[in-house]
Amino acid sequence: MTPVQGAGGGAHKASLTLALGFVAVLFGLHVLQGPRNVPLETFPALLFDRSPASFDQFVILHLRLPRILAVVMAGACLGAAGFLLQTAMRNRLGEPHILGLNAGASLAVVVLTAFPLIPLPVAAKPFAASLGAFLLFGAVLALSAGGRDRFSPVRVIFFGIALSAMANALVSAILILDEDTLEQLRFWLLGDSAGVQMSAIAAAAPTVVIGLVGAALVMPRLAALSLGDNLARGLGASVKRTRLIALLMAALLSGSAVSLIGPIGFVGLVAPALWPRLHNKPSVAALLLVTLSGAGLLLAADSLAAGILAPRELPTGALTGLVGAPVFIWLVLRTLR
Amino acid sequence: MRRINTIERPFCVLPDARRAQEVLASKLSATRLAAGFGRRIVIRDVDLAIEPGCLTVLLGPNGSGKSTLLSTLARLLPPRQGSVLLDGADISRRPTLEVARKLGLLPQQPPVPEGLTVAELVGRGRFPHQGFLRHWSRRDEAAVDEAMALTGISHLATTDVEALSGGQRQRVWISMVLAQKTPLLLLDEPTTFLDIANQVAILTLLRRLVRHHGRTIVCVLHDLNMALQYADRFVFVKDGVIKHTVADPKQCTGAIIEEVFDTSAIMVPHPQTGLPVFLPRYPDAQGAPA
Repeated sequence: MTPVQGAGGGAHKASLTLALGFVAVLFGLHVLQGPRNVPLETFPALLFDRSPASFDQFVILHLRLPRILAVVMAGACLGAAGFLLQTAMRNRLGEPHILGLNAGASLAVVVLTAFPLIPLPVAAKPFAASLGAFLLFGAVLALSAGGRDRFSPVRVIFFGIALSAMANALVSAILILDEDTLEQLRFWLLGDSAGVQMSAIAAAAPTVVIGLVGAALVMPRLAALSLGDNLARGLGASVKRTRLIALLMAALLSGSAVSLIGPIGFVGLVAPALWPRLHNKPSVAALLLVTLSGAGLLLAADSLAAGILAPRELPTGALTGLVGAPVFIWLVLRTLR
Repeated sequence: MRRINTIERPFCVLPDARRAQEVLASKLSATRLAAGFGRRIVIRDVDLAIEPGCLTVLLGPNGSGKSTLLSTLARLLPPRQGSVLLDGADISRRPTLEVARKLGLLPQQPPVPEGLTVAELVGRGRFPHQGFLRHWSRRDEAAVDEAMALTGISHLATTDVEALSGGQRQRVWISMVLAQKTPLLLLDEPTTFLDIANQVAILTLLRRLVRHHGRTIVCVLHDLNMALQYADRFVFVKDGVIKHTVADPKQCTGAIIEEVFDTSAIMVPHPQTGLPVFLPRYPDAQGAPA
């Protein structure tokens, strides 16, 4: 008999358990972390008594929990988006920040905040951010589709960086001219999780769910695509449609993450890179693994950002950049020989 | 790394008389076909009916359009004119998954994906048979086991594909298309870059699939002599058009070879089978290489 394959659930059981345990531990540590020392006895009480009588309870339920939930969601989205981009483009350096999805989403949010043509409901923000991500990455793809080396990793990354620079320049210009918007978005633009509201989390939930379910459904097609365009077509997986679905889902996920805690780099790169044998085996279990890894990585980064210079806090995005950029350089040295 | 002997079967020529009980029905044909890349038309005016239950080879000089013809037959390239018919219906209008259950394709030298075991790669051939949620079923498992047994690679199931030799990799790829369980198989140069033992093993396997498993196989081959020993039907392509279609290797004459390949050749019969073998003809005995 041949070993377990296809769905691949069994093969990743140990790694999945490990990743889940890691996320749970980080979650627990993060809840306990903060300038105010909340005694452990408060926690069991939270389960039974929801009256906002005590200040400890208020801190946990309204300050720490939303922040941690937002970080978990954004990290999961970035990990899944990175995996989608890397498998759909067959490019191990694919990542929402480098390929321009984050810059597109940021630009969309900044434009809508600075020039509110219609009063935009909170619930529409993740969709607007996703649309921005999709449009900018669409432009990156249109530019890199020509020539013999269609969608070669170097081309896609080059145009991703170039268009990100352009979008970021527009963001800077808008913010310099509009101080109100700058005040509102200053920290968010660096990737900041402090002060996330429950309403923002609820608003992002639909796009996160659609993105993750869509990603899970497109996994078998991406597995066929990993054999090359011609074999994928021979197996009956339409290459164009598969790529389009994967990129739409990546845009929804990046947009959700950006709308929650701003443009965060490198989590989408590092989460799949933790499991180097997964790239040619897209499956629902593999997606779950990178999703959990992304959540764990961003939780760890957020914990460090909040604690390393306590009581002062660093923006989370600054920390992921500090850790992620060297990983990116290492991957470039290894991949693009 | 462990060296694995790739020659599982000795050289053998199967008796021609034995035919499979039933030929899996699926008919592939092309009418007034033209196709190409960009502005360049590579093949034109192709009328071709693939004989079910036969091993058909496409032969011709480099750049003659054999691979382009195969790609068009496999719906990888859209036709510029005319159409490819699979069981009477235009292949480009049928759902691609439905086509993938009838027609399997192995492109030339596919890149080997990193980190996959033999069984995992062969299992990818099950894609068109799996439902919406793509659950791995017992039938999938059986198809993979059978495909690996046919090519003699069952003992390599848990080995990394990257660790295999060229001949073994080719068997893995063929197993993958076999796991797809299609009546029709289109293979682009399945023996190129293989040593003679591996070429013999692969061609013997293809013949066995045709004779005993009712498959219909079309492949592009470069080695004219090897093709003549194993195939049933021969389609000679030159400058993008079909020059000759021959239904018996013994009807392949020096004149045809000369016309198609622009080279002079001497035909000698194979000492055991009498099938033709072509050798280069020199202007005079002195002109022969020392």
